[in-house]
Amino acid sequence: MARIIMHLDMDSYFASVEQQATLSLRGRPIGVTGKPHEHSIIVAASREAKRYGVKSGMANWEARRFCPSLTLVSGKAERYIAITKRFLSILKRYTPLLEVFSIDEVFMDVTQEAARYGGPVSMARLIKDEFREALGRYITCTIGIASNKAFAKLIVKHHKPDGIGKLRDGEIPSLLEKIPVAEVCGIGRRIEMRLTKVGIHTLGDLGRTPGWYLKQEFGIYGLFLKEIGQGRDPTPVVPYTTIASVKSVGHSKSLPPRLRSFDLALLVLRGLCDKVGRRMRKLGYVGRTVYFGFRLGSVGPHYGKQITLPFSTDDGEAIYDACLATCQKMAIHPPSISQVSVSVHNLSEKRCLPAYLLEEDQRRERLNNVIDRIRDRFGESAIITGETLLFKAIPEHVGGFSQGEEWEF
Amino acid sequence: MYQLICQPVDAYVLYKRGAAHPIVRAFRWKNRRFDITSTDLVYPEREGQTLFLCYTVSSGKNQFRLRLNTNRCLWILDSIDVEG
Repeated sequence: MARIIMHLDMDSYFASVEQQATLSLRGRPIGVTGKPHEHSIIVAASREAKRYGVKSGMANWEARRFCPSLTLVSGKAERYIAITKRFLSILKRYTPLLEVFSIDEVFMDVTQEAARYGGPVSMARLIKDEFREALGRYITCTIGIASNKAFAKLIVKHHKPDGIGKLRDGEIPSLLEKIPVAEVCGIGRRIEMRLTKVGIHTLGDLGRTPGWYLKQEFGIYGLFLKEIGQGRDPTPVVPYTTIASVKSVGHSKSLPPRLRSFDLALLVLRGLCDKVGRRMRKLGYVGRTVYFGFRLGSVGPHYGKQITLPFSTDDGEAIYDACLATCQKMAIHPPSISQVSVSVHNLSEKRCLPAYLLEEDQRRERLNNVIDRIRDRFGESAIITGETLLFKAIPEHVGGFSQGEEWEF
Repeated sequence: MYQLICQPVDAYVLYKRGAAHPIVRAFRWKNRRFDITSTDLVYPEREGQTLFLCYTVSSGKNQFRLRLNTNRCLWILDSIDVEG
């Protein structure tokens, strides 16, 4: 029996939530952005703005050039998380095989359930009706139905906005010849360039390419490409109840042009290490390998360094100390830094490790626990390090440090 | 036209069985009753340990933002957005 996979994608999600929330934004071109200054980017554009050519990822100044009447709105994460939680609670009633792909995208395996609702298309209509009732008429979604995940996602693109698209198995062979490889989720710009170099432009071309060649070029991923090229995607829908193992915990931050000095980058790094430590403690992990990196200049190269600690830690300060010591040892002092990132790898579960022996480590652990409890109760910015406080511009100009809620569903 | 208000109001609320949040039917502000014609959006907002439930509601052609302080059970009219 062929699988019935649904892919549900919310239309212009953040922008439509803002339009639903605010009367004066309805019917107007709006762009949801981090901070409404020129150097921030558009996270989501409303349908009206998209008509002018405004796209997600565009810089605000660029979007304004396309659409001078564009209204910029600061994104409010709590709103979007609340709406996502609400639509997920609706979808969970339709099937337990629900994979949360992102904040506004969901895969559902409705092979068993579709017949109960009179087929997948009428099931999709019911879902859309229920969404309209529960979320409001401005928050709409597009649903793609196919026998696998890749093609369900692909068909959504062709039925946006507010549509339902169904792809029958018989239609796939003719479609393969028309669809460029880059349209498939999982084929990025680099893979596309490598495929184009050897004359593979469409999915049909990909399907005709020998499997051994793709495996030789792309490793195990080549076999996935071959399957996609033949209209198949065996990837299962991973239910939301499955707990994925954590491989690394990391954060990164872009800096606005006037705040790109090395000293500030170190303060931002301090804040990021703190965030990484807090998340690790929340997840119950400790890690030994620390990676930190800087993007030099506005579009310059990325400089990164990996350090393996002699012990596993979940302490933000220990992570920062390791980064700082490496910076000093390597005499790293670039004049301009546009992005800072830090991540911890080589993770193990904290409960599997023995308790700290040294009094200093125990004291540090107790302190972190108290800080976590204060933050749980009063918010993330309730207690911060003195170092971060020194540079008062950080919470003001660099978004993200004060946002407490994690994107968990 | 958007206007910030931040004033406590009396609210007529229905606690419906099975509903995700209380449903606002009307509110009274400046001795005038505003009947809610549609609830546009409801979402939680946290200020420290206080959880607020924010309601964006419409009454006729006007839109109001109400906030319920769940700790003190206090309704606040946050802002008005009047068409035109």
